[in-house]
Amino acid sequence: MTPSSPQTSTNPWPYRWAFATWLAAIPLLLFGGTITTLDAGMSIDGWWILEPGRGDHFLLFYPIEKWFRDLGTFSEHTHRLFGILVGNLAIVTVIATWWKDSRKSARFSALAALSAVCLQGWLGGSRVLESSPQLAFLHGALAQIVFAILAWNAIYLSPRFSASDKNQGAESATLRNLGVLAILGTYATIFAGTWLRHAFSHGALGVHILLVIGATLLVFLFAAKLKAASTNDPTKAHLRSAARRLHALLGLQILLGIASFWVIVMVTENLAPDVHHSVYPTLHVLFGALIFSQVVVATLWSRRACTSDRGRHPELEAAAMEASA
Amino acid sequence: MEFRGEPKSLGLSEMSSKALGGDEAQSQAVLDALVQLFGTVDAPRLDSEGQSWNSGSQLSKAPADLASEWLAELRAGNRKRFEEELAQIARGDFDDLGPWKWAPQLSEDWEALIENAGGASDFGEQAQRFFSDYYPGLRDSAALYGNKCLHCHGNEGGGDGPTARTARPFPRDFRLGIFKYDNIRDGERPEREDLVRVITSGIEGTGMPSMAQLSPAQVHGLADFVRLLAMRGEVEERLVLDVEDGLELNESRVQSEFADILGIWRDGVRERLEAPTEVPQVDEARLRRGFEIFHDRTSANCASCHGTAGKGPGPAAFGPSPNEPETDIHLLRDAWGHEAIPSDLTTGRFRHGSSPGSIYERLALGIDGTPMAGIAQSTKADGTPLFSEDDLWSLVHYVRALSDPEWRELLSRLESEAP
Repeated sequence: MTPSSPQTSTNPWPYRWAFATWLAAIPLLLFGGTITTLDAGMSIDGWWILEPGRGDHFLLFYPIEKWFRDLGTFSEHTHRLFGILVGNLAIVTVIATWWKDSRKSARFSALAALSAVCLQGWLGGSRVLESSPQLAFLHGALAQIVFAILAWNAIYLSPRFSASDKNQGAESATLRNLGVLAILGTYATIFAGTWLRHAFSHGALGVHILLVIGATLLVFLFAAKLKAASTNDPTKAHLRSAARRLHALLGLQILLGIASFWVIVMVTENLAPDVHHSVYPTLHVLFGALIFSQVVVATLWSRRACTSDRGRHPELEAAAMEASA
Repeated sequence: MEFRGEPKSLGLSEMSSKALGGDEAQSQAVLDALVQLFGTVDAPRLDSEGQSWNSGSQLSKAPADLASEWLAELRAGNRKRFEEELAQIARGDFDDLGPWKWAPQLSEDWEALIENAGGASDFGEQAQRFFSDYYPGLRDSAALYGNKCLHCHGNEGGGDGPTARTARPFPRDFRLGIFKYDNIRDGERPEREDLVRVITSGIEGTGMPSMAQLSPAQVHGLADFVRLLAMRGEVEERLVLDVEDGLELNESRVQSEFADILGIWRDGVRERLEAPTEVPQVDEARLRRGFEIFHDRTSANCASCHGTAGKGPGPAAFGPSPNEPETDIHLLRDAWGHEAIPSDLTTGRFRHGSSPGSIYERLALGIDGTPMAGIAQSTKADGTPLFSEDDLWSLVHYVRALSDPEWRELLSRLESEAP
């Protein structure tokens, strides 16, 4: 592998590890959402040393029969194990980036991702040790931001992104600004959703629904602009695929939102939902995170132009530049 | 922002609300009576004939059943817990002490002590005694319960906290006044040390954690608060029954029900049973005798519930469903209406403890609130005990041998020899 130039990186390994980290964060979020939906956050006493005074199990050696004791314990312990996996992958990403990518910005990005993961892990452990519903709320509210940072990091470290050109055009600036608005709108909706799940107030539900309407409009607009920007411009094909993904995610998210609302109605009417009904609110949380990270990544890409060859065949690029000279 | 899992005003149980048919006036009357007797979550109390039980933050105000043999341990635990504060006081520095988390009464009483000290020359000694003699009042214990216990046991101790949705086995509902793992015969109310033991060591195989990291005084305080919740639940049930019977909840009826329940808890005659300290040796003869008792259908008949190999559940645990006679369902229920599943004895893990003494106690006493009966009370027709102490130890050793590979061959032989 050739060392990267100060401005570009051709080595795919930092990106691969960063992408694996983001991928591992998906089940982490899924189990985390399940824990909140099922109120299972305090199922296991202790953190790092589990069941102190009654087993003193090191987290990684928690007995299997206890892991599968009940659904709450299973969700909580699996969530912790995925947390450890994400943390380790983030560490490997930093090592790979330091080794294979000499860009300061890339190293900063990898470190930022690791720091975010560490902070989130510390919050989760503190939530249990302090038995704090407030920290549970904070842990839930920050999860999607960390997830988006991991996505950002993966894209930033990718050879394709580093080889792409910065587009200074006014249209790109508009697109980026709309992307920022969509990020803010989406996160505000997620925050209100976290408030709803952790405090379960009707006020929170009302705010969440209002924000959903606003955020949906913003995201649709952003997706439409992404699509328009990519029309007849092969250097922006990546924006078109981002738009398609946003449309698909948004459609599914709306359906999951309706299903989750139905679950809320059941709880309000004291018809205890079955555990399997909890799937809808949990998936709704996951898809919210996917939409948020996609909006963040699309905003990152919005001021970039690239061809499919760039970043993969630097010798071709050099030959093309010679020929044009 | 009010989060799920935070303490709320003490309310009525779901069962009470259903029994009262959603009648708001009746529900409020019961609730008002309970507030009058037991206070609120911010200011819990237990008033009996004008005497408040456990309202301060000093040992001098602790409940009367706190025996003197506990005091040394409590004081030692306090000295450890307040080590930093005591060191600061020893240096003559009384500033910036407190407030203490989950101890609002302690924090207030400390402030009051500082204010009233008036520069007394012996204030250092007073302060040392203050911390050494700390005993959590109900208010401090309620705050600590809200942090440590509520998420499983629920706001009113109904075993319906947020985590209870998925926790199996279910967290205890204190409100029936039944506690599974005590050392009291005949299903009577537990004593202080029974609750203290369970809170301190947790319950193996369940989500009940050990609270050994708390000081002994805090653990005792939690035991007091759990008893309050239990009494409150029992009084609530009585008051609801009174309402259902058309009786008016006047002052004298409310006080009468309360006095009854308080009397049972405070003054009830209890007989403790603890395992003998000397444990006899395991040998083949004992294991044979244990095997006999375990499988004898005319006496202990353990196999009927735990299965012939002790893997549980056995044939007595199942029976035809009342709605679909051709389908077998699990029949055994506990006092809280949950399935009571006879445990798999071959795992070697027992909720009350796996030591020979712990198993002895469970076999002798049974498990209150479940179909698991204690065999120490079993008698013959002439009234003499059906099982001797030696028999009990034989059964203990047999039960322990079920999970011990050393005895596997012998146990297989016993099973093959059995008629």
